[in-house]
Amino acid sequence: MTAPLLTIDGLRVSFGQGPGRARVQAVDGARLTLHERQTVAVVGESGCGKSVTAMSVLGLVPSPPARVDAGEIRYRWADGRETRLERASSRELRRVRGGEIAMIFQEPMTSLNPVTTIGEQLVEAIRLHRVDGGGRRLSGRAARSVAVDALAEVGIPDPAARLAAYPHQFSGGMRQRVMIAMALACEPRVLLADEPTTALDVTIQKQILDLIGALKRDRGLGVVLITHDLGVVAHHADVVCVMYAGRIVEYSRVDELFRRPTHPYTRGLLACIPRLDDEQTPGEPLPLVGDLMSQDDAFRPLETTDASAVATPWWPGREPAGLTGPTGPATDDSLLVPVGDEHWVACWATPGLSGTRSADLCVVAPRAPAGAATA
Amino acid sequence: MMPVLAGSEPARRRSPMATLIRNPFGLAGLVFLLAALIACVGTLPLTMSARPESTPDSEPTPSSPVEARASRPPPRYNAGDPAAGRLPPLWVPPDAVHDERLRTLVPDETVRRIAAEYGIDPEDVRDAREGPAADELRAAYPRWLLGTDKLGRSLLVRSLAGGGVSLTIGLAAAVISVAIGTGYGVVSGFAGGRIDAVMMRIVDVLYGLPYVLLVVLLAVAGDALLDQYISRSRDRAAFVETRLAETIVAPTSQADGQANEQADDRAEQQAELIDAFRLEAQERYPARKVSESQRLGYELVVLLVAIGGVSWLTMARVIRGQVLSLKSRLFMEAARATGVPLWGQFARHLLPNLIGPIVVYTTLTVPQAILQESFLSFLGIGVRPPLPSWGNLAAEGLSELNTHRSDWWQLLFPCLLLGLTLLALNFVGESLRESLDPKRRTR
Repeated sequence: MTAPLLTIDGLRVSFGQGPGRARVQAVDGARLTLHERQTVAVVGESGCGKSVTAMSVLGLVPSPPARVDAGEIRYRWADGRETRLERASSRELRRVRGGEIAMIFQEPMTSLNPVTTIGEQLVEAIRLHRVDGGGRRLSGRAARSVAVDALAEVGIPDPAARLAAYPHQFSGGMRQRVMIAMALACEPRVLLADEPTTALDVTIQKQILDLIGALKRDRGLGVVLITHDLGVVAHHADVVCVMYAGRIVEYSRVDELFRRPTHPYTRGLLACIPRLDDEQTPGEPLPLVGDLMSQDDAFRPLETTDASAVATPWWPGREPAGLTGPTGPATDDSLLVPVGDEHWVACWATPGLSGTRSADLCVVAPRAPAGAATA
Repeated sequence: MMPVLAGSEPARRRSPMATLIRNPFGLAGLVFLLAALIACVGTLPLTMSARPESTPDSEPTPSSPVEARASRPPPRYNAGDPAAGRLPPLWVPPDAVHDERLRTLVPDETVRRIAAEYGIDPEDVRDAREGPAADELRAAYPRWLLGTDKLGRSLLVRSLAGGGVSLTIGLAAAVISVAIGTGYGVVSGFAGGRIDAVMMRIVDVLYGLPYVLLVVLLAVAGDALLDQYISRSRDRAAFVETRLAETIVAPTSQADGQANEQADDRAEQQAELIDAFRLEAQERYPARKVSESQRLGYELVVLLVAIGGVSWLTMARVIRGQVLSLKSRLFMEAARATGVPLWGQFARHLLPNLIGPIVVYTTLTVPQAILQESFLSFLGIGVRPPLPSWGNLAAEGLSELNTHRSDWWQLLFPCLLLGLTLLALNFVGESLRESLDPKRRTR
């Protein structure tokens, strides 16, 4: 198994609220690993730290007020060299941004500069990151032909003529495709897609996700997909990472998670999806996540590989009384405890409980591409 | 394969200038502005120079430079015969009063020629009210295209020269204001945080000061500097100082009785010495000469600095606000996420979005600067008479309106030119803004 492309290990990001006020811990020990040809979906409610995690990878969180307190973000270049992105120089960061790790934002309507043409923006991005055979920057003409190819690849008809168009002349779906084209024309190895389809209707959503999936297969792209939509996760992700309050509460292979959701929050999220084949009577409201979580048996101890310790799902403010491990009381920390095959759940850290604080252990191995015979 | 999205025809690109010209108002404004610029600024060499003397031999040769300066013919904008003052424009038929005055203005040679032609006494020609002689006399009236002001100077020449001065000041002040204001606003908005706060408080303080005070202070300081440069008082004082230090030795200790007497003597001697040194200093550091046109240029520069130095404040505020709102827009973040360096974010993403407000505020700054110049000229700080500007021409014209006689042309023409220029500027600004906005361009 190859080393992961991108590793986020124990990332902690906090935001200052001004002098004399406590800092807000937006991301509190997030960890994930991303391999080539793999999609890691990050799900969770608004404000749980998904976007901040993705943006800290590229150093895009505004600082101040934000600050990376701890943790590592490691990126592995094509030559095997590793860079710690959270402490990279701005020059190095500029090389990584776009060229190695591209990002797609949630709102295609405003992600493009309204006063310059699509072509100018594509060419600018391409000339920043692509080099010709001699290692020199591409000429304007060469960059234009790359831009035309990129637009054609994302399915924009008549791409050569569209280069002269302005963003307002494109529909939302087309603009998002332009954003994807811009991201992919620089040939990145990682794509951070921050809710790329939230503002779009379902047909465009499918087209765009299929496009990303195709590029992932063809180019070995690693994708971090941030979304609210568990349906999207089920279809397009390989690994799921459920976040709550800045922490990862469940980290699993995708089929494993849907087969056996373990953390009460994940179960709550899944229970809230309306289903056609549900026995629920029409007119009855769907359960709320909060209601499900407040049920008494929600946080019952889990079965783990280590039966001698009590593993209770981690939840802020719900530490069970008298929770102790073999060698002492619980600490106010969470531990990703393995509960199955490539499946981890955040539990209260008790001494003696075996779990992971290191991302290296939380690895879901990449599946072989569908076409390949065997891994 | 994605479905082809119908109804989105490929965009045609059209340059902003082409779109500007397609807009009739923009075109009209542009044409008027260019015409006014060429007419006013282009004729400045002519209006600022003196009319060549037709009979140089008849002039007595000046004996001293002072006389030479006094007798040198005035520049065209200041040349006029007070006897020909307050005459109406060419196409306005003169009324009885003007007729009487015009009659006396016909040159004697012409009168004699008419008298000889019709065989009447030259005295009677000027008095003739009817008949061919009177008609011929009327045809020989000296007339001015736009009339004359109270000193008999041609209003056309003065309006053109005034336009040159006003437009130069307006445009230069706009350039200063755009350069400083945009730079300051962009830096402040982009830097944000504490730097932004400090920079904006400076603007607030400058905003709070009454700008007339600022301008007066600047003008006074500028005048003092110029005076110092001319009279070299500092050089002279320094010279006296060093000579004194060289010649006077420290007093040796003497008996008390004699000491007082000697001190008096010494003081007297010192005073004499100082006077002598001052004379020497004046010889050694003679006053520098500053020609009239240099002085004029200097005053204009002070005026420009004063107006430009005040008008950039609004620009800086507007631009800073725009930058703040643009900075938080997603496309700036997307540019950063694509690894666009700071300079690229500036030049390719921020500035193109700022051009609209910059253009609009520039077109607003030009008329503002012209109006401020006229206001300052009225206070006696700006353009000093006899040099005209549209502002002080209008001020002069206004004082000519009274119940006794209303010499309307003195007010109308400068005001008309000023008003049309401002209108043209607004048209051009508006259509330029529209043509720079891609959403409105392809209507």
